[in-house]
Amino acid sequence: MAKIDQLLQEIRTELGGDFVATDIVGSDGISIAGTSANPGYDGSAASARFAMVMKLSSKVSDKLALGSVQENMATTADMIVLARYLGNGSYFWVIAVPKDATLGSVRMVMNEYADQLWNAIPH
Amino acid sequence: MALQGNLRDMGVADLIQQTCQDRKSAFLTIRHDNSVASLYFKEGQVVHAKMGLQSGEEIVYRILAWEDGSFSLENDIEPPMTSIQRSWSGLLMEGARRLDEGRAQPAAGETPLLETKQSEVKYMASQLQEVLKGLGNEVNGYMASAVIGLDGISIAHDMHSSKADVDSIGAQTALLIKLVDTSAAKLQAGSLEDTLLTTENALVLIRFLESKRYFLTVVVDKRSASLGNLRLMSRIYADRVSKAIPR
Repeated sequence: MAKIDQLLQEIRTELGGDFVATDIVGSDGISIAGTSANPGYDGSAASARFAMVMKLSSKVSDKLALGSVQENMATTADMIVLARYLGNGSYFWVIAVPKDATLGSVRMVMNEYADQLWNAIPH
Repeated sequence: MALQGNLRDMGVADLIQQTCQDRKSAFLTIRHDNSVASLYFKEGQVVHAKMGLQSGEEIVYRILAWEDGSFSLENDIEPPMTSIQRSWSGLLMEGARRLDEGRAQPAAGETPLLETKQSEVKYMASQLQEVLKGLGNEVNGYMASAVIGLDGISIAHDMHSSKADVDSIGAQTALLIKLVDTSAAKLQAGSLEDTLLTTENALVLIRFLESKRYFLTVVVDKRSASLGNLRLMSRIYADRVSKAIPR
């Protein structure tokens, strides 16, 4: 688990000001690792809510025959929250960034770290 | 075990939509003031409605107007009879139309609005269709788009793909945007603007329109789509769609 924490810290450093919080979440909605730059951000609530969102996303995609879900990105007045499945889909990665973050860089960082995070989760 | 709740948390249209989408056979009881209505579902369709001595689809239209009260939903109950033939989406659409007409009823002494309203609706639908066609010409990999109410019913759509089913897109994306909206509110992340679903084959962008009573859904083929193009065009066209919907 130390490896995941180390990777999340690296991600936080890479994103710098473009970072609010991140969590690695199981399909039960429980976070197994996370870090936040905003004391007001409730990581447990975000994990639980986005587990529901990811489950419904899969159901929606299934009903519309669009193939398996990879990611959900919500844009609000204050932030962008990306939730992406890792590995075989038993975990997903939530990352929250400010609304004015450079989204292209955030997605690049996610592409770079997704496999590393999956490999760092004890199976 | 019965699912119980309050109509303020889950409206009658949502209850019908959810039960039918899950293709359930079930028995729904709704209590409002001193009235009790019963709805029976069979394999994802509403087949019987009853209130007092009355039965049939008129009951459904009456209860769609109930905004408060309680409900109880029991699964695997067989209907005693069939009094409704219309599909569940047809019932919701007709119910929405009647509710709109009810709101447009004139006060005593005023000029009737129904005829004016019907022509306005036709004009609005053609305007929206034009805007959606324009969107289809600008978005790479475009498959379909629709303007949808929070009840999951589409008020206009434009489909380039024969596989796209507007009823399913409306119902499913309404459920998703409502859940993401509630989640954003619970996380105090500010008001939700849009949510983008990336799947193996498609990108589905669901964007609230100005009033948040309607939203725009755009489905594009992932292989030929550009995320930047999709986000930009949906923002521009969401404004145009908002302007085409009468206040």
